[in-house]
Amino acid sequence: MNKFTHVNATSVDDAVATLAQGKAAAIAGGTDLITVLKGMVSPTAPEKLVNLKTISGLDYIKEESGMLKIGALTTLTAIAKSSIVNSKYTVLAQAAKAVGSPELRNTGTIGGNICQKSRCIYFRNEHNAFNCLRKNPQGMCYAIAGTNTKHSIFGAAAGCVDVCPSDTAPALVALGASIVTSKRTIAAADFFEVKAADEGINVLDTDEIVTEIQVPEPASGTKSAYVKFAFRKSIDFPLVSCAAVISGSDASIVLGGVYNLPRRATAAEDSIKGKTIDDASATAAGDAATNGSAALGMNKYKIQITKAMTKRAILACK
Amino acid sequence: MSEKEETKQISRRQFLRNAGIVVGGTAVGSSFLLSACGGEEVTKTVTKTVNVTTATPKFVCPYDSQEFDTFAALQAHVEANHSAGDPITVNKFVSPYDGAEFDTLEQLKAHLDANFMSQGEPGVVSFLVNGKPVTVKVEDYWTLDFVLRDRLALYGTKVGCGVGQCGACTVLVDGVPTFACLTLGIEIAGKSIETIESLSDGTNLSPLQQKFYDNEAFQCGFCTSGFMMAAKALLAENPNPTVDEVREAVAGHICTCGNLKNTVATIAGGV
Amino acid sequence: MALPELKVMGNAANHDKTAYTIVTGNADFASDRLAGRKLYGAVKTSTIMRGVITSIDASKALAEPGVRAVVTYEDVPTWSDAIFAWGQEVAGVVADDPFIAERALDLIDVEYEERPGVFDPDEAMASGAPLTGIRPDSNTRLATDLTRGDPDGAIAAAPVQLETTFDYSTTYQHATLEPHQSIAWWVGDQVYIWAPSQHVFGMKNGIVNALGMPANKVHVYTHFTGCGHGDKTGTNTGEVSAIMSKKVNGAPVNLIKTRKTNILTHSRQFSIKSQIKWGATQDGKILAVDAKFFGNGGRNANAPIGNCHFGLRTTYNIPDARFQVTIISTNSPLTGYWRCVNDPPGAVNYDSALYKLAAHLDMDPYEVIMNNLQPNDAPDLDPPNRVWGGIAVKEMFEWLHQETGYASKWHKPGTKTLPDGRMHGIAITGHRDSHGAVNGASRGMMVTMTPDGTCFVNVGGARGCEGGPTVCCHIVAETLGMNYEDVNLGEWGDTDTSIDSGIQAGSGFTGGAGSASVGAATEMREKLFARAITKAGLREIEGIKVEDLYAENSEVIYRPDPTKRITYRQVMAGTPPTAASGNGWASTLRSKSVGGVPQGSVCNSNGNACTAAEVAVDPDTGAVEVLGLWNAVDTGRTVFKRGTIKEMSTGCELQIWQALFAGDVYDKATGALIGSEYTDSMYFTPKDIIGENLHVKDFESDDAAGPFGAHGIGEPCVTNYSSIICAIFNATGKWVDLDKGPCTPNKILKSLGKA
Repeated sequence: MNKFTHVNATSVDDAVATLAQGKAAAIAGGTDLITVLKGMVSPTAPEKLVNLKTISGLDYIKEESGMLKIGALTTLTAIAKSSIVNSKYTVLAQAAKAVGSPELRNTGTIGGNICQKSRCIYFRNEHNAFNCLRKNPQGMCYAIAGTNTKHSIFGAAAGCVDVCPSDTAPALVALGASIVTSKRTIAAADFFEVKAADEGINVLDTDEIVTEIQVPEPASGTKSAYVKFAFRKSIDFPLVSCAAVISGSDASIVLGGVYNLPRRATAAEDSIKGKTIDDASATAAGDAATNGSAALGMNKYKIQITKAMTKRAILACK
Repeated sequence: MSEKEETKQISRRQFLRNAGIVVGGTAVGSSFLLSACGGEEVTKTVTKTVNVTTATPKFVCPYDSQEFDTFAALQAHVEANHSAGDPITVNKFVSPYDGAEFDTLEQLKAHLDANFMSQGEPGVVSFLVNGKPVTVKVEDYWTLDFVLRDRLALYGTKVGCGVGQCGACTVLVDGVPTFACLTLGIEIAGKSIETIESLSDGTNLSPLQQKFYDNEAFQCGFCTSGFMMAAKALLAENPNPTVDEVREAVAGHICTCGNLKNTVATIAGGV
Repeated sequence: MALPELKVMGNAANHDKTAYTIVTGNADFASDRLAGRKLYGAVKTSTIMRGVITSIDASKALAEPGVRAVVTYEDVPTWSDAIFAWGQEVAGVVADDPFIAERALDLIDVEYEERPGVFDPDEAMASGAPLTGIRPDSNTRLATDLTRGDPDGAIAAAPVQLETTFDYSTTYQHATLEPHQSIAWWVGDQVYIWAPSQHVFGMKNGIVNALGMPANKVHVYTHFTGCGHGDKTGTNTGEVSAIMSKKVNGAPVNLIKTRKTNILTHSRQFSIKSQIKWGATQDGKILAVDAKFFGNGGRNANAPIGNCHFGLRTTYNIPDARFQVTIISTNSPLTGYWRCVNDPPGAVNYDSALYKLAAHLDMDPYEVIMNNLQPNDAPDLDPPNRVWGGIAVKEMFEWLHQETGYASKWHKPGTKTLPDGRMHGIAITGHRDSHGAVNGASRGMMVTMTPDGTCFVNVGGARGCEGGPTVCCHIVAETLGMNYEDVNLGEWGDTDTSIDSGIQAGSGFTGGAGSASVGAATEMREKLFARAITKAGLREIEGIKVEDLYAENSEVIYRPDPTKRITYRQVMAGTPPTAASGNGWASTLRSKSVGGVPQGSVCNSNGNACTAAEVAVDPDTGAVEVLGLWNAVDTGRTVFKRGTIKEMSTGCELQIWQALFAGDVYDKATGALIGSEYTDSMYFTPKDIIGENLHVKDFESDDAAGPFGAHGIGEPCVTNYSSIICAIFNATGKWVDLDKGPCTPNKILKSLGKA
């Protein structure tokens, strides 16, 4: 385990001030961070952990002024069980439920879920055996020509062919959510980003934390769903997932597990918008979802599965 | 550990014996080991004797006798329902850990903070384990499984993967199934931890254990503690779960012997 | 057949003797001791595939607060500076806590001189390949080369000739839930070790040799192991922790390998491919076979793959045949049995080949199997022409055919779709198995009597998954004629106070330790009967002899007049402390003649197994659902009934794991294992198993060699792998290229042309 000292934050400002000192990381549920520290996968491990769980007032689910507001420290279990989220923001409840396993959801938070680190098996190799370009300015991507069974089918982002590991990310993007941080409010669609020599999966500065998720109330009659495909029915990260939010003439379809960022399947949206959802229209939209895809050496099957999952997500919105 | 400290206060072995925690292992010359280990004495003793119990101690509201699992819950109830200045005529605010009585909520809180619930010195955490208060000095980077197994000698909790992918280390934290391997010891101050050692009263099997015994719902037994703690939490919320409901609840637990069918069927239907 | 009545063995009411201990969380596994009084070890592994270590600089690690010592290959006899795989042990750290220990590994600088290595077995076999260095002059070794009759001539003359290939079955590390670990400490010049070893005496003897110590100064103990599957053998971490402890003046050192290090440094199942040439008639009679198997032995110089053809060789009546097994050395991690080599990997090769033949003949594979089965009681066609102690292969195939409803469910491959659009498949496979054996006299057992006439069994072996020590208690109780509750487990797995009961491995233990249990209990019975005829209640009988007695329900009874009886308690009253020991026996026809071979001849005690699988394959995603899985296993005589049922049921689950999920993930370029947690060497979860549709049945065939006819089933009960793979073929009509891994959706989609 990387060595670190631990401090309890008393407020958001307090946490941010400590993070601004550098060589520090925020810990919420810790279900990802602790695995990264135990594996010693990072050449720039934090020396100080700032505990966000001692900040009161970041754990809530409420509706306010036509907006669902979820505190960043709300557990995934709470979101998955919430009757408000299940009834009106179904895709988010289903996505939260799809994460990992019950114990991980009991501890893991939505803030943490959109800040977790890459699951690429080269990145994750312990003792930093593969010091790849996400960790190292002089690094390369080992997966492009290596074992890339679970990697991107839409090419590289910043030279990296990893996929976004978060289940809730595509749901938030599909719902048009916003991420409120200690500094700003950003659309979920703009929140995720991958850069060279940057282990993070989003635009957060090192002294910035997520404080709230905001989701605008969908139009009445909106149906939404999240489907996830993985080799195992539990614990696994999404190989392919699809978040669909469909209402009347509008459709928002976002793919997970297929690219470094949640990917809007605009061709699929155009294909299904305004149409009656049935097997034929869902199939057509599913096929369109993979427009522009390009397989790596070992992951062509994901294109077929993306078609199937997109179709199933749409049918679930019938 | 120095021999000097060993004689000054009651030894850890004695403390643990009093607390009903079994210390396993073959007899080895302890003085040899004390000098060989060279570390510091890691456990402070609790000076008051407490009733040995495996149930979560309850905080009782002196105004209306409602019971709560944590001080925070009691405080919220009192602040919402009663005025702080109201006289208490019937009962007192009582610490469930040592029976100390107080006239006000604030006095009770101060007593708990001083003795049981707070992180008084750096790296020292006080918390409840199976209903008993303990105080342990921890390194910031230790995980809860290490604290339980390697400082409190509670070996029933197992470590299978250390990264939250097998379920073997599942304990209950304030009643919630949690992976001990992904929980920092430094963060559990004031929490109530339950391990497999809490299930029986030391003599009789709990109904859940009896059912696991009757069905022999184990092979090697290494995953068993984790499954039973997850089952305990499930049955508290859903006393008669279907097989599918059990599968959902223990979906984070693997069994490398392959005895899932038996274990899941045993938890299904409750006890 | 009418089997002799048994009182204790096979009784479904009997519990595992350690059940109470386990459900209370008190089962003491190796590291469950010495809290607060021990140091911790961690192991560093190589980051090159092939080469030598040129230097190790541990100064930074030793300077780190909390680090107590460093060990290298120079300290550990079974480590080496010659590297043959990415992830081979090179150094270790001892520290105040395991977190410091693991961190300090990064502070040890290891320099290597890299050499060209070969990771892939086909590349290693190709001519011109660099030598892996594991064997001095070649990357391959022909381990088995057996010819019967004239296979080439018979194939050439056969009406139907077919060459089938199967390209590399899956390889998977055991991934036992309890990672490899041990605690060791020294008192003076004696070392004490707790480790989860499947063979306590094997670990002890290995450490005696490795450290050059007197055997009476090495103490090794195992009570509970957290799963073994054949991986927890040898000197293992016991040796390493002993050396680590020595470096810190004998202070206890608890070495617990991380999941990643565990997977890298311990053994995985062999990946096996085959080329099998058939000569047959149009109506499914097999006339000849030429079967070549190729197994990846990894960096294990003595990979025991040679017997992977066993089931093909012995199950079917094929007069002209050739069987060859080539072992390939590669610069990849250690290999070793996951339960067996005959099954699963051998069986999936030859069962698939049979299915391919059947498809070529446009026949039901079950018919082809039944047309060609060796009859029960038929000896091997090859030397040593061993006779089988007890088989029920034909009966088990017939039972499966009935139970599964196969007759109405089977269809030609790729021709049946379920209402939900998924493809349906069903398959039955099975074979004579190379396990179950009664070992030679190298197994021992001890029993002692208490003053009140109850009995302790002192088993010199560990408890693994299935409750081996409980099996011994059953057999002792049966032999002594005692009630099951009057026989209890004494100490076990303790090399100080017991004798070697053998390796806790499904087959060997029941046969070996089981026969030794009969021996020990028989010696005890002789002692007790000799006492009994001197006791009031029996001594009054004129001319009473020991031969007149038998025992039942913990009573000693005079056969000519059963009203004359005394209890074991009465026997033991006034009797001095009494113990007895016994050894196993070589495989002989102890109780009956078989196939015309006289009683007392040599024969083999072998388990057999047949399985069936029914699957649904999703054509859009390649996902497979196992609709039903059947496991029929020949137990000889079922000893511990509950344990046996569980062992067969867990066999089903484990085979779903192997067929659909199990497989280490590597980077081919570097030979690095990149699947580092369960996520990437996927263990199935409760949501991946359909528990209700697992069906098991123990068949009793009264093994002529075994103790009371019993033999072990640990390996035979894990054969469903081939039935699942063959059922997938029946569903899709396409064979999946497994590419040394599980039959995951990506591979199925590829076989369907969708990827």
